[in-house]
Amino acid sequence: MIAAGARSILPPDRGPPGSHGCLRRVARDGSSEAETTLTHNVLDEAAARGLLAELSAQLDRAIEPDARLILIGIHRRGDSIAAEIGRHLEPTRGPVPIGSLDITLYRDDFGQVGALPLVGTTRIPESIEDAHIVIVDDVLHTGRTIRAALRELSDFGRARRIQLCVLVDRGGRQLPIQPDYVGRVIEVGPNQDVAVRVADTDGAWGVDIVALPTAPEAGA
Amino acid sequence: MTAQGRESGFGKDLIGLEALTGDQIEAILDTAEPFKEISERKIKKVPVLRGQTIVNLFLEPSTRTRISFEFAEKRLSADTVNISSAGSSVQKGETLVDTARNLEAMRIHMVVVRHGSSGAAKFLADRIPSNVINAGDGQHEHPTQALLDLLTIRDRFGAIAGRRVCIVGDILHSRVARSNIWGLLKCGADVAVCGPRTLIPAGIEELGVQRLDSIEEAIEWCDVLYVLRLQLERMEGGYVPSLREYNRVFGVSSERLGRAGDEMIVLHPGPMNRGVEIDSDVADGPRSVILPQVTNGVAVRMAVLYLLAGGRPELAEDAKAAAR
Repeated sequence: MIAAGARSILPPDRGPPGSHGCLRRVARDGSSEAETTLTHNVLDEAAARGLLAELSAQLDRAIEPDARLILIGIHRRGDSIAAEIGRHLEPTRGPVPIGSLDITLYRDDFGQVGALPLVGTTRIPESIEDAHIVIVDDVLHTGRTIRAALRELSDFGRARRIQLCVLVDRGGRQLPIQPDYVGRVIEVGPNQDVAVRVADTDGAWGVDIVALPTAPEAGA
Repeated sequence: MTAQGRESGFGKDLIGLEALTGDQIEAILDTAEPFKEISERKIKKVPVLRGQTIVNLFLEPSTRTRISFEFAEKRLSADTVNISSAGSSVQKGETLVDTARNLEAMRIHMVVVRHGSSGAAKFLADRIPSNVINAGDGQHEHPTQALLDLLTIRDRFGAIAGRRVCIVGDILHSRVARSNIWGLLKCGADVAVCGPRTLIPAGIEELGVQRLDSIEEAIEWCDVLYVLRLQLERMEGGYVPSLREYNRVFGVSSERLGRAGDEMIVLHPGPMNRGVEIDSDVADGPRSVILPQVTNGVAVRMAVLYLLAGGRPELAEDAKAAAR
């Protein structure tokens, strides 16, 4: 729930030319005034797609052509981004195996938060032994999700190398974890969150800054 | 009296399926789905219940259920202790509640209890703050068995609702039958029972369960034939004239299955009496899903342990939003 003055906590528009930069009131489920959240669009569909292409090109340049590359998306939006990067890499590298990691059972806050999410399914498409893994996620924040992902991956074998690729780095790290490939750095305050929208779940690609009702719990 | 303790969205304990709604049962099955994959991994262990202590208090013989629970607990990284009546202070005459209070004093989190008396799990759950999971109490319920059966049916048909399930055998004394009847009805299946008149509880129709008189009729009618173990002591009790007679009238043979629909599957909770309630060529045949049942048992028990330890699927969306 946000007070009327919450507008002022939003940062100035950091989006590229062509992004909206406008304030919208977005109702979550119900449309009552008390339930509204302030959303600030940073990347629209075209800009987000451009960023994905750029990120894919970064990977393509940096990873040796003969490496046994596996992209592992973090459930759920990391999955969609990994699939999109896979499509971009296909013309030059052929079909890239894509996996999905659900880190629920590796979280470090079991029993501390009042509620736990539904457990999703982890799919690893082929042996990670000696493979070059790129973990793909939408937003990098505290680094805890990535630590959980590294723990989980190590239960599947010993990869030759593991790298991290994120669409947005929003800062606020609580662990010594840094990305190898970053689409965009968007620094936001403690009362804000970066929300990535992906086509298959949300209907269209995009990146928004969302004002949170309260400071977020130590999460990702 | 209700003991104060940790509560998940399902309550503190799992005593029986009678107390759950169809949606809650389906939610447990949904949670079991991702746990199946963990048992296929190279390292079959996730850290989610690290530091939790679980006591498996098995005061009645059991191999399959105890081992299945133990695998589920270990694959979630819990610490486990097994207690059976032989060789424990139970043999010296200690009461159930004294045993449990002593365990509590050693700071445990959960008790999985198997007991010969109906109501023992509830009795215990009301008196200790730990989570209690019923692993079979007398002739009352065996909820995790029914959950794994429901998961196996759902795996095969995609949904439980609308499927015809006939349970064959000793319905009267069977906690497996009781839990399955509750679970199947709540999930929307059509349920029938078939067996010797002496072993069908009077008034079972009032639950909405049909009675089928012959095994041939049952096989023709159902999508799922659930064959119960004939407990050999029933013969001594005079419920069944002889094992040979039982096999002749109610035994499931491949000849009898000739009348079944193409998709029909056969379940059995184990341990089987081959040649009594089920013939070997059926138990090992293409319609049998008896081994998938055992595999699903570990996943379902992992889901139940996870949910009772703190997972709440109904709050999943909130938690996801708050925790990224």
